[in-house]
Amino acid sequence: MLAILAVYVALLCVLPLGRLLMEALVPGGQAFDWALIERVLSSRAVRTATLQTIEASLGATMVSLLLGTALALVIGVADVRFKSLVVFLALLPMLIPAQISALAWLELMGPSSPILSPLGLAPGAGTRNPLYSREGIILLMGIEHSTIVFLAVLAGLRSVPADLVEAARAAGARPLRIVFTVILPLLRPALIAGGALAFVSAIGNFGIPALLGIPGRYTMLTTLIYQRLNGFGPSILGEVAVLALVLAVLAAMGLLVQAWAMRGRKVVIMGGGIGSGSFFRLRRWRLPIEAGLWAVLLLISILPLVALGATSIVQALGVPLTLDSWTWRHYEAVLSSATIKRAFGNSFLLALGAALVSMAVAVPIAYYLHCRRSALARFLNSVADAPYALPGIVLSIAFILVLLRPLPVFGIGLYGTIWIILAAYLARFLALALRPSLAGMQQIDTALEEAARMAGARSLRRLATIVLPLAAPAAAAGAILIFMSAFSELTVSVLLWSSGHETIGVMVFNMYDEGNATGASAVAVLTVLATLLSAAVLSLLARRLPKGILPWQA
Amino acid sequence: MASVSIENVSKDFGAIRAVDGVSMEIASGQFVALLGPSGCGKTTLLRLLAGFEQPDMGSIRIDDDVVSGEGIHLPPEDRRIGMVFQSYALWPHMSVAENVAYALKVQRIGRAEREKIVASALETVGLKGMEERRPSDLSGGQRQRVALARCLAMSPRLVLLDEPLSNLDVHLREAMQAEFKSFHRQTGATMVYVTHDQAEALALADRVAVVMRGRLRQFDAPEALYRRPVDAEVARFIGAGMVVRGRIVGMVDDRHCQAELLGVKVTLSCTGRPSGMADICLRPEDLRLATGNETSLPARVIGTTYRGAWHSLEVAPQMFPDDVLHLQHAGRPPSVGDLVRVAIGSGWVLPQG
Repeated sequence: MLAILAVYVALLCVLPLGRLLMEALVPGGQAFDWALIERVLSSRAVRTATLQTIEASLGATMVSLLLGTALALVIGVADVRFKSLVVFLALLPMLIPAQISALAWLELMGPSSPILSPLGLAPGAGTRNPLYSREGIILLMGIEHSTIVFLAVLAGLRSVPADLVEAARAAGARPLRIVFTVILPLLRPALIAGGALAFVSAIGNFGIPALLGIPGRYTMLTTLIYQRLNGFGPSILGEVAVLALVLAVLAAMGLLVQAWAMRGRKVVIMGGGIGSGSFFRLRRWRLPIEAGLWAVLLLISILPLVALGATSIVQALGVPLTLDSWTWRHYEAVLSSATIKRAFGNSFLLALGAALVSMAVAVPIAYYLHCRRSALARFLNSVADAPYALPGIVLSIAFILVLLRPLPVFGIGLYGTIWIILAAYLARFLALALRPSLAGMQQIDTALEEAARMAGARSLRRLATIVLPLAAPAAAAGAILIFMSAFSELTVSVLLWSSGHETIGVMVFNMYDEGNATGASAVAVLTVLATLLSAAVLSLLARRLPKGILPWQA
Repeated sequence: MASVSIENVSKDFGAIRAVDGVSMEIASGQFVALLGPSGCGKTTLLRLLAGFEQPDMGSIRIDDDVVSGEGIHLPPEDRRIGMVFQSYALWPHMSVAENVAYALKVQRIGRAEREKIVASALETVGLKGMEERRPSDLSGGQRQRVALARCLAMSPRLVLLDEPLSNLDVHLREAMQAEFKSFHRQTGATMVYVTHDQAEALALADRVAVVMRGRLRQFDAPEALYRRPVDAEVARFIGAGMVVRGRIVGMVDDRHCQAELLGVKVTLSCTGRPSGMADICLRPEDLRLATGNETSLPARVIGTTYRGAWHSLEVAPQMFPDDVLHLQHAGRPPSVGDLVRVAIGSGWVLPQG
């Protein structure tokens, strides 16, 4: 059993990434050769893209750190009201896929903005959207990944012992001083780790650089890879593999910083940390601070979606939205389009398949890891992190490299079919399945299984009657999380799709690219609704889940 | 009901020897407590009996069948042993009745028979009418009873209990102790009970096995353990015995001798024919404040603690101030700093190794 799981992980998670490394370092397949790397890296376009990737990602990381930390501090320590709603809104950018956020922001800030135009604030007709720029990319990626910092800081707050803050209060310090002299210094590891993860996400982001950077002529590595591969086809794979390797190295550096910041952090705080309650009474400051908080949340989470929704029901771009001028026309158009229906079907089946298969693999691995203390399972668990942590575009190139030619034994080619997308999804989302499975297993007291042994139950019966029923809620949550992520996925499928095998993420991107902003908005709204519906189902499960599985209930 | 025979069993965890050459015979129907400080290896010994751990050396027999050792290792599921876990280990996704019926389902016992056994087990532990409850809806004591009923339904030949009272409130413990005793009386099962609480061990068990640093130090009836510990460490561990040096001056009869202790002549219990210098175990009730001019030693009071019916006194003999003695004193206590006279009524000469 464990051997089959090991082969599964090796084929999906190790082999493609190894193949990518070989392609870049040993281009002829014969011997190690710097020549290809040297040639690729000496190109000016590549160097510009690399520098711009670093520049924009660092900028976005700064935005994420400021925004995420400020939101988490206000929500975590102060007595603002409607906390669950506020947390949900602060995390909404995480639930919305990058290309849809980009689309929403473009509609919000563009010359035909349904929100700004009536207020007379929109840029003049015919002018360029101000987001088609480096600053636009930095702002949007910063907002998108602020959720990572937000969650890291909230978790960090929970591990700051409450008595440290109480001691500072006893010493006479005022709240603001305590934040700067006690809380923030203690949060440093969480800030570094959250910032590093935000950076890794930014360099791997495709949706935002694609929708903003391509028209804005600001190329980043992900968009350069996309453009090269789209323009020249698989003949350029070797070169693209080098670019993917550069991305992978940048990501690895970020991940190392994150691991370094979090080293040795598994301290259990007695008596609870701060951030579990409202530490500071804001008193007369509460109203102004709440107003500021809601203004920020309105801007980053609500207005873009309102703009997206409004764009999907205008008669045409630039026509003002009034009570009698709105229309379902675009929805009717997209829902009657065979291509779009097919794309919804594809994404649905891909997401469902990825969710079910990944959970079927992850639950046994977690079982062997936790209940049998298998070292191999522990190894598989950490290996499975790589395809999730690395940028999605790196993974898709690795899968093209492996599956371009027909499979050796079977003689079937998967390139250009829907199966290559499924394979890449299975690799990418295994880590997302393992985390909740493991958390689910960990909350099962080992004595529960031992008690079943004493009752005479053998291992299969114990798995079926004790372990699986107890791990089921966590496994279901993992499956829904994968479904949500895979359903609207773009970064992996944008390089792997082929005619007839489009995903919904690709559809939104292509429609916008072709100038059909209203149609793209309609499809995007439907996707967002599906995502929110999944999130709602998950929240219903929440009561039965171990802590830390649902990100928005952190 | 089963007898258990443990022969020279050892178990290593890495470089640590958790159980070190333990041999013991448990007679059928006995209630045995494994007593020792935390980390002494008593739980490992229990898990060896259960079959969760495999001994590195030695063998374990149940009713003359080898279950571990001699190249055999019977897995826990084939041993027909009941176990009550420290955390109770009730399956949270099953009702009380389902928890109790689980082992019967595994044994493919028919539904009618099964329901009868479950009902009678729940009745025995006083949980009739709770069949459909979930473990999460029960109090600590009720969970403990479900764990017992689950054990009972298996009609095991041997029942292992791993610190089953450590998660309960103090006042519930007394009630559950009585419950265990009646469980033992009704089932007649052989029981092995792990605890670090000596009061619990002495109150419950027919025989107590004191385990320290992986070794079985003494395996005896509770009174024997208290009155006649085998060495100084056991003497100090059980009932906070005091150990002082004394000189044996002669035998009185087969079980008593004369000794010189802290400067006074006393008559002590002993075994064999001790001679020369020996360690002597004194219990607080062996000592009292002297009245009149009986043989006694002068001592300074260094502490008094109110205990309700009596005061516990801490005194330092004037000639041997390091051998601090404890005694119980009813009535008005002396003050700290007072000089008193202490009489030694009896004591136990620890066997000379």
